[in-house]
Amino acid sequence: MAVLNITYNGLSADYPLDVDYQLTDRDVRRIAVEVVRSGGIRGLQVANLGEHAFDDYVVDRFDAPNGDRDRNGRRIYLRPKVPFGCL
Amino acid sequence: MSHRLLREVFVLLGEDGRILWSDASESPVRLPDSRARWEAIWALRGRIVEIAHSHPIGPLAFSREDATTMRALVSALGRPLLFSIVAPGGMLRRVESIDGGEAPPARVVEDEPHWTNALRLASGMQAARDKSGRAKDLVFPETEK
Repeated sequence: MAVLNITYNGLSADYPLDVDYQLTDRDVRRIAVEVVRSGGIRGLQVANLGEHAFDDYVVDRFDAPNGDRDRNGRRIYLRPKVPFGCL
Repeated sequence: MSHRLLREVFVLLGEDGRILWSDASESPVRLPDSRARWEAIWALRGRIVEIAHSHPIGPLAFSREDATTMRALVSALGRPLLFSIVAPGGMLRRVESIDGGEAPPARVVEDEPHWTNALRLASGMQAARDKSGRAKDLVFPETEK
């Protein structure tokens, strides 16, 4: 069990993921697109969301504070990247 | 000047040029991704008027990295944002919209706001000069912590 947190269009919300395997970053982005398109998160439905909407986002992963992954799961944050630079 | 003395500095600015938050890298050419920076942006999103960073060795232009980060930020925050770069030769501003269309042209700022000299000095650059060649007055804006 994991919880996916998506920040998009001024909202930040959790979506439960019933998965028992290690998701790749690409998996997370693809799932997020489908969740937002389908309205899986209240207040955050964009039916025509582009396939590449989260290409410039990064995936942060954290274990639950007590480290009990089976019961409390992992938290996966999909957030915008924030590096800057002149190159 | 040695590049080891120069570094990119990032600031979140509120009303009246008040610095809401800042951080810096150890490099004059890159400011790596940072979860803390994102958390500050999200926490202060309702008060951010402008997001600025320095290019202490230039150029006076937004990079591809800057452009993709700005696009990601407006998508996440759901509103247009004003971004700026401060380089040795001037300041550049651009509004990033949320429509995903072609970015509007950036414009050079002739009358720079007071906080740019503090940003230049924090980045290891020299303070901007006025028309007579004198360094402009240095005003350190009040910083919230």
